[in-house]
Amino acid sequence: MNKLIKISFLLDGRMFSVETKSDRRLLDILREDAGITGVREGCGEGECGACSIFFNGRLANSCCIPAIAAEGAEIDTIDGFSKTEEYSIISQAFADAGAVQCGFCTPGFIMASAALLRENPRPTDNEIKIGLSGNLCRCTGYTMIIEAVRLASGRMARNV
Amino acid sequence: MSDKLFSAGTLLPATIEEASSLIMQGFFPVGGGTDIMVRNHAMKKTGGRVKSPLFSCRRIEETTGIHTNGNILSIGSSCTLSSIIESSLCPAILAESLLSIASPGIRNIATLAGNICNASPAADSLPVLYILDAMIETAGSSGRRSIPVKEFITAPGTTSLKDDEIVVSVSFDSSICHDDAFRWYFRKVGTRAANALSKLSIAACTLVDNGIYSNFRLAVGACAPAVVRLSEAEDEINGKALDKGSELAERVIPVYTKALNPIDDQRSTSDYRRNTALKLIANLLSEGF
Repeated sequence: MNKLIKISFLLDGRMFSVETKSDRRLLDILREDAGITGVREGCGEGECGACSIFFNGRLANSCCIPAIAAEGAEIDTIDGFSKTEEYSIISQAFADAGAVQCGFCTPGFIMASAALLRENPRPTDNEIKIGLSGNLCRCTGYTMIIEAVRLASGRMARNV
Repeated sequence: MSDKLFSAGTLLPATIEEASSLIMQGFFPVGGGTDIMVRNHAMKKTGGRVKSPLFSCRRIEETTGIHTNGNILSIGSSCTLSSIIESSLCPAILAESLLSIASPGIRNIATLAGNICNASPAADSLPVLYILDAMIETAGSSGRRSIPVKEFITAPGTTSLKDDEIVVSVSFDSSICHDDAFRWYFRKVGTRAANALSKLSIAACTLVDNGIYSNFRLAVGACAPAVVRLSEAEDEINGKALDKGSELAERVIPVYTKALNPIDDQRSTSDYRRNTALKLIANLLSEGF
């Protein structure tokens, strides 16, 4: 019953294939098979958002996605995203706002911030809180992270 | 069975027949799979029973999309919570309850059908589906069934889904939600706004014509083994004036008190759940929506 399946998906713009079990976590495939360790495992329960990725363009917790769901999907991780202009603006805003301390949660927060700003380029503070509600930070608290998203939002608007 | 390579396509069936056949071979169907993945991960640590292997129903055409047929709104079982929330066809009361589930990254993957099939007494979509008299459409090798949600869920964690069946869609008459006289209420009480399972939840809706209640419906989640909806209390309210809310509350609160039978668990206590649910109901009636 535990047959392997061959799963293929677009990973950071390139085709990626792996032989794995249908219920393996996408998070484990990304970290162990693709070697993308910027996708973090925090809680493993869908609560902390450290494993956030874009799944077909939408924010998703990779610890909650079974391998079979990834077949044919378009998956973008912090690895691919870090080569974009969007990333430069958001990561600089995080640095400037002092929104990074230990950094463990930061890739997830950056992905969630990017997903929010794509859908809502000028979010209110409350909308930022909702957009980042699936991500936990245990170092900085959230004030500086919210400030970082505000900063990034303003800088993106000026860049257009 | 051999460990030879399976094609992913085999586990992405396009028809109900193929899905039934996979279930009979021991595969578990998933919508988004978010809850099974968390449970499986926990089970692997404790040595409990893991649901594996999995297959996805998302390529079965009739499980996709949100459609209307006359007044009936039908939501495919592969539709994510986000896609339902974002649909212009989704009534605001349902959108509100779905927005209270988990967080954006989970709502982009998880499905309404998954929330129903988990059959948790604390599932946030259920009170709304109960008051909308939702039907669960299933299909399997023995044919198709259309089951009222309250009959579909038979006990905590248990449904009447047969072994070879999958949920195809969830449907309900949404015309009441578009009536100018329609009013609704949804309130989830949890530890925090995101990623918290409910301590309790309440959904209610009604038509108010010339200050008079009709079609009043109210359901309480996480306060008994199943969602509580009481026709006795609803009958008491229908036909009465909205501005007599305090008197109505006095009359129906004892009815709800008798029916609520919450448990103590890690999220809350029985007393807190019962008291808060009753106060929210009394408040809703006194304030008159």
